[in-house]
Amino acid sequence: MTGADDRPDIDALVAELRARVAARRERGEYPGGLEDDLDARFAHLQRHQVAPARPFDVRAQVARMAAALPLGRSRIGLTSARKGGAAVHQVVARAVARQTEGILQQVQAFAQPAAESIEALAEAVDRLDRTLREEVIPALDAVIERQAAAERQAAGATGGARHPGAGAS
Amino acid sequence: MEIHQIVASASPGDAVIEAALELREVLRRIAPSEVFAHHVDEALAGEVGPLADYAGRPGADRGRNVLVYHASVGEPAVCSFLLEGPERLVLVYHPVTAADHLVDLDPPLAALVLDGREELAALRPRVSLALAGSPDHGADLQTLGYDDVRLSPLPVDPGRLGALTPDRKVAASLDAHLQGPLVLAAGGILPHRRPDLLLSAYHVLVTYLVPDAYLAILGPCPRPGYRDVVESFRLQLNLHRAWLPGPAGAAARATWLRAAAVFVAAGDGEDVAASAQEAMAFGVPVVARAPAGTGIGAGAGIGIGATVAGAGLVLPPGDDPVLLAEAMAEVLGNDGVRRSLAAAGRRRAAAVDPDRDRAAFLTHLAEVV
Repeated sequence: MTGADDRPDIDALVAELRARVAARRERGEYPGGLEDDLDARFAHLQRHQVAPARPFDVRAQVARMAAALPLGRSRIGLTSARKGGAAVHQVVARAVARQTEGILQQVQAFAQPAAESIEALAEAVDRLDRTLREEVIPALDAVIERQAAAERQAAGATGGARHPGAGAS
Repeated sequence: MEIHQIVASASPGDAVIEAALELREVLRRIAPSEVFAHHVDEALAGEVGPLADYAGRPGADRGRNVLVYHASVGEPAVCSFLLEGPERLVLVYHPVTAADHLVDLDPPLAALVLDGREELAALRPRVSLALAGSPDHGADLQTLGYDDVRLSPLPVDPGRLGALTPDRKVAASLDAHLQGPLVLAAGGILPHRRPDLLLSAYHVLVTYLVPDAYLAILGPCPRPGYRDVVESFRLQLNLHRAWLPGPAGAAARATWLRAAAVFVAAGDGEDVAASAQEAMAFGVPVVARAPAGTGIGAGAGIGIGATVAGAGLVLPPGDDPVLLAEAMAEVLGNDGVRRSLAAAGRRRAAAVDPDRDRAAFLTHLAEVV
């Protein structure tokens, strides 16, 4: 398709592409009404101003969970709105420090591996979701579209044979 | 005396604002020079000042400055500011496209284009010098009553991106996710840039021709509602390898272009034409759909048709996603075609001389300074 001086012969190439599109349509590789279908889909979305559904943000929730760890006595507030209340809280905190620490250690021992497991699960789900969306679904879509086109073509050929007058109507 | 530039709206990646920023460097050799806009995207907050700040510039109160106004769509606030000011006014005309071409595609923009033409007619007595980027645009300006229009193409340097360091964030994202040939488009998510046609063509491409191809449409999405519709279309067609990353600065564009296998333009405009020039400078083959015959920029102007003609694969006007997809597939799959288009594009980009255009601009400006 190149002319003199390696310049592309655009007109020849466009003509070749048009012929190729026509041939593929003829062979049924492109379903009839493909462009109209795509146009109609977009026009419908535009007419109704359709907005995409926002997916649940797992990562943000996992980040919130991670920010809540590690558990510790220092994160228990000792302030009070009442006069002298803060001092009372500090005294009580010191009095029950051993028990509080014991509880916190037990909960932390559960929460840390639980959080790590949830993070790993979220990562795995995210990866799976990406694989599905970016690889599996598009590939399936392509196969289904091609199969549908082939079935339409086959049905057209068979239907034409059974009902010779169908085309005229 | 100071020489400042005025634009209605400033957003990153916009061809007019990028040209204005480049001209600012040229103007600063002569006099203090800034760029002011009515709407300023926060990404450009340090580079472009709000229009209201102009009043604080030396000489603004005495009208001793020269204002270079980049006129595109209508903006009443800017028009009033220019009509009421005493400064000498230089007009640089950047038509979007013919309003009649936009009426069906984008009624709000069509209205803005018509408003812009009315404002241009109103500004005519105030304008000391009128500049147009191409003979077509000059002729269009003459229909609005501007008798003396000078030709002054915007100084675009398509090769300058090649020297930029890659944008780390974009490079990392491409490293992580790009696993097939990338079809790159620019111009943003606006109706007249035809993101719907690009997505339809890409749908045909990955369904029937090149299943592992990716698509990225760079550029701003100024209307959230329209972006939602385009995003819904993308999701409905399951085009998860089609990306709408938003506006891209120079370094980001350079990174995208280094990764691109083909550049595609479905719409027209200075932004798209400038992006196509950049793609050609990078040796990325260009596929473009010729704009409709009645539109500004369809002829020998600085629209996509004129920019790419003879150096890229220009398809006839029309909304044919299948033909567009076949053209993409041909460039992706045919080494000879790809090499030939890349070489032709490089030659075209090398012929662009921004210094000549800068000199032409300054020569014209000297008449009013």
